[in-house]
Amino acid sequence: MLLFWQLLKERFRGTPWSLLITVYLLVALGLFNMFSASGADASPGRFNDQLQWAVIGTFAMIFWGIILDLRSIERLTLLSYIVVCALLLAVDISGQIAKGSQRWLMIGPIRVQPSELAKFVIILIVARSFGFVRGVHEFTLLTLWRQIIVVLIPFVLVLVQPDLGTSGLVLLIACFQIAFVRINWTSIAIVAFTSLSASIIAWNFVLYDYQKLRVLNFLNPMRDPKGAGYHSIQSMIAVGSGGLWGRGFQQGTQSQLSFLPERHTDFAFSVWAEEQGFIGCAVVFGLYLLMLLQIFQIAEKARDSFSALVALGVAGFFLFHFFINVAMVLGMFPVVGVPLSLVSYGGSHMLTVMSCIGLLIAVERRRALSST
Amino acid sequence: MADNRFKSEVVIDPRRIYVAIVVFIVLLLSLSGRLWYLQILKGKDFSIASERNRVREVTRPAPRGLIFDRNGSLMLSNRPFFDLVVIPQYLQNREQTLKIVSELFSIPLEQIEKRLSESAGVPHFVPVRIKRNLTLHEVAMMESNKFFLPGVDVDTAPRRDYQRSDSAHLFGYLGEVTNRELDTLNATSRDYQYRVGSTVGKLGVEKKYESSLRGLEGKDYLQVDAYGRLQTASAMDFGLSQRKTAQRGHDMYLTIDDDIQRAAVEAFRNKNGAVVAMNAQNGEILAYVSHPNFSLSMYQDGLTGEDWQLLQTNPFKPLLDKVTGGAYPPGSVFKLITALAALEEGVASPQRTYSCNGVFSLGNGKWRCWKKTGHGVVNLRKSIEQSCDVYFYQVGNLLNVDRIAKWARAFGLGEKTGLDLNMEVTGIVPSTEWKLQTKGAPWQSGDTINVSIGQGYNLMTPLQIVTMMAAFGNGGKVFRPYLLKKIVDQQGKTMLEEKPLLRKRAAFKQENMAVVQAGLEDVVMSPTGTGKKSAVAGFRIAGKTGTAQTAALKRTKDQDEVHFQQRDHAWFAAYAPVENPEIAVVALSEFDGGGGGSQAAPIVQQVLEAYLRKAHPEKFVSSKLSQKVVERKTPLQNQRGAGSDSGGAVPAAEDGEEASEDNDADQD
Repeated sequence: MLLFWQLLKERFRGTPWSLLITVYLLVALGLFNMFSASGADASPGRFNDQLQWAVIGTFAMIFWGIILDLRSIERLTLLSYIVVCALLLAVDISGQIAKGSQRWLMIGPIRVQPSELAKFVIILIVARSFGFVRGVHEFTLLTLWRQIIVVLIPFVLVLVQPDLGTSGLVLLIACFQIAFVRINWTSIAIVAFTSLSASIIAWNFVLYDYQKLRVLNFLNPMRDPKGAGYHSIQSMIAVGSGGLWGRGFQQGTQSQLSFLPERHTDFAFSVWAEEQGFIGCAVVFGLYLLMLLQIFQIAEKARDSFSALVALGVAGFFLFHFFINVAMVLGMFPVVGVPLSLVSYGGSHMLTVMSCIGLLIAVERRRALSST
Repeated sequence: MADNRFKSEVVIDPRRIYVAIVVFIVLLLSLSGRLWYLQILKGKDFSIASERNRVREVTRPAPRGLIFDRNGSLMLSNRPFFDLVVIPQYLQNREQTLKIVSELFSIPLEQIEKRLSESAGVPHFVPVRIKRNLTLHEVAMMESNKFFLPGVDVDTAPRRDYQRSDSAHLFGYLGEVTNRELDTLNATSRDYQYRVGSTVGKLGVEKKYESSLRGLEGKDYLQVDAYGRLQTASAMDFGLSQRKTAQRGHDMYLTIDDDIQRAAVEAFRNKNGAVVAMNAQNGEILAYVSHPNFSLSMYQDGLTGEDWQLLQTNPFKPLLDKVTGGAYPPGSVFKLITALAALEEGVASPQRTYSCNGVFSLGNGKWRCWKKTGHGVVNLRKSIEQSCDVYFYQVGNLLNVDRIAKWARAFGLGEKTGLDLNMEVTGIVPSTEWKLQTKGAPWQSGDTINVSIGQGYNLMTPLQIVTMMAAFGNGGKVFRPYLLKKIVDQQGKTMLEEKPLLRKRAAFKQENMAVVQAGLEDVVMSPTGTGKKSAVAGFRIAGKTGTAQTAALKRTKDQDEVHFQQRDHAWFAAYAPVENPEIAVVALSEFDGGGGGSQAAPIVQQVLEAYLRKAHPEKFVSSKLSQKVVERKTPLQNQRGAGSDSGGAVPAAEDGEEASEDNDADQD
């Protein structure tokens, strides 16, 4: 008995408890918000679902963080990458058959959203691709060929679903990770120059007027308040009417009376802002700031490239989801399907997020192990 | 040292982590700034926008003000009406439900669908009216089937209770506001907003006093969701309590005396034209009847195209208010103007006589008296009593038309009386200048002959005639007639009160007027008077008959044989009591065919009696006991030729006064 206890204690050594407290505070906050948002529905189905997913997510976190160790994760990376790419391909194909956009895949009784898993697996594969590298290195476009290929495959597969938001996130997370690697300045200049000139050429010579209009409406939803801008405007109304203290639990009329679209998923933060006001939002911002600082600290303390890049990938994951979602809710960013991690409703996303936290635990456990 | 060794194995640049943290904090601060802007700086604006999203203002119609007569007896009130409505929000099994409704209430299914599609834009909780003014039977049918028809309901709204079917022109009908009215009405009303579908008075006092009668709409504030569905505000009552209940409009007291009004309606039954009774000393209108009448409730229930056609094509023009809007040749009623003018202008004197042998010649023209055999030698007084045309041809010829016109205008003819109800017309007082301007032809002396007996170009409204008659009785005071005694709000406070207005005062020598008045009294009181059928026992009454030609007819032709639109108008105007006139009455029976004395005088008699009975009941008590014979005579037969006691002598002899057809022919 004592031995088992000893083993368990050994297993959990290095676990970043303070990070977990921050994470679960956000989870609790999200559940509270979900309960409020479901208030008018009478059936608290979504709240229960989310609670369930939080529990399942916790198991996933334990799986990646405690049961596996970073070495096995490193070994599993390529396999899981291939599996996820295969799933993405399956989604694309079934979407082709159904003649419509498709993001779900039924695996047995559960619906899986492989594009969510892609965000997770991209963190691992990018980190893994730099895993062989030791010491100070300066990369060029040519020496980065591995990374370019592994990122482009899932990016394209998600893009054709079509899911612009997630594919963009996949790209952003990968770029964020690579940005911490020393890269030759000429290569950066080449990439910047080609992408800039390509977009200028496309705008002036390739796109039709209606396509340009679509791009403009996408970039500035207020151009079209009844169509593309409707969601943004309703969200801004919800946020704005929250004021300093908010309208109170289940008292937000914008969300409770369905003026706010997608109030459980992409616009969950809008509900929070309406009902909890500026003060409530400051709490979320504070928790996110705290969490990101903790993750960056893990990255900074990491003693090998894989660990550091995994931690930075997770940081990028949270950072981009947070900024894109909040900016969208505040009407500063086009409406794309990007949830606010830990707060928005969504099983696949919760699973992915908790797995990412699991990775951080694994990173910290390895450091704890190697420092003894 | 050890740390550096490890670090050197790491591919990333640790300094960039600090850069990333700084960038992250900067971005977080910019988001916070945006949040501050939205929630703190613009919070109020967004709160308003949010309220606008969820709160729908629903108006509740206000009952219109009640209408009373001068004594406070209710003339027009409201009652709840029931409408069949469909509420799309609660509609289940739409197709089947609508089909059942269609069959139960015999409304074509397409009509229901049309109604529903018309209101596609409004929120789903707003009831869509399918059928107005259900009968009680239909309401009962609906109630008993309510369970099977979710989303179908009966809505109540206060509307006019048209229990009486008379006096449509006085009260006026209500209708939906037209787009053109919308702008003018909303421009003038501050506290009331008309919308498409609002009810508005279209005629009569309902129109004239619209702003007082309409009341204040109630307002309910309901909470809806994004799909326009009504939400119960229980859990989330955020101060929806600003609701205002509908306020009934101000109540109105008319100058009308309902007893006299009813008597006038009763007396005028089966006649077309107008009856007006007016207080001779201040212009208060006591009775106001225009026939043919039309149904006010028909308008309220929604006029069908068929009904509208009938109203439009009816040759007697039911929609025209004949009191103010009907201009007729006044016939011999006009002779009192000619008579007074002749005395005042010195072309006649009380003693001066003319001989009437039945015809008057001027140049090549010949004008006949209505009495073929002539009246013999007549003075002014006698000529009024007998309505001798030849006498008036003579003095008219001496007067010339402009002097007649001057005196007609002195008594308010040829201009609006100022009642300002239902498209009042001015009528025509012809003069040389008038003819030159409108006809482009010089005045002929023959024209004057026609004008002097109220024919020719003369056109007057019954309201003008009654005002004139009152002025002859009261010593020349031409009052503006008016209908409103007061308007009272729901607290009983008087909001508006009309006061008598003396429009003008005709100046004449008292002795001249006395002669004319004596003649007018003889018309009624003398056994040979043309208007003796208007007599009320125990009272001195003065009046004047008129039988106005509408077309040139062969004298031999019987009125019954000619087309009704060419028959004569029968006039009678009177005031009573002579010693101090209290009331003036006029009756005009258009296209009657009978004379003023036989057809119009009995109507005036009934109105007068109704008034006098009320004003001087003591005289009737005594007359009842002593003068049985007279009394039997007074409730007069008002059907043509049915008179039993004055019998055979009646129709032709009494008042067959007609300007002869030859005259007109000669003129042209």
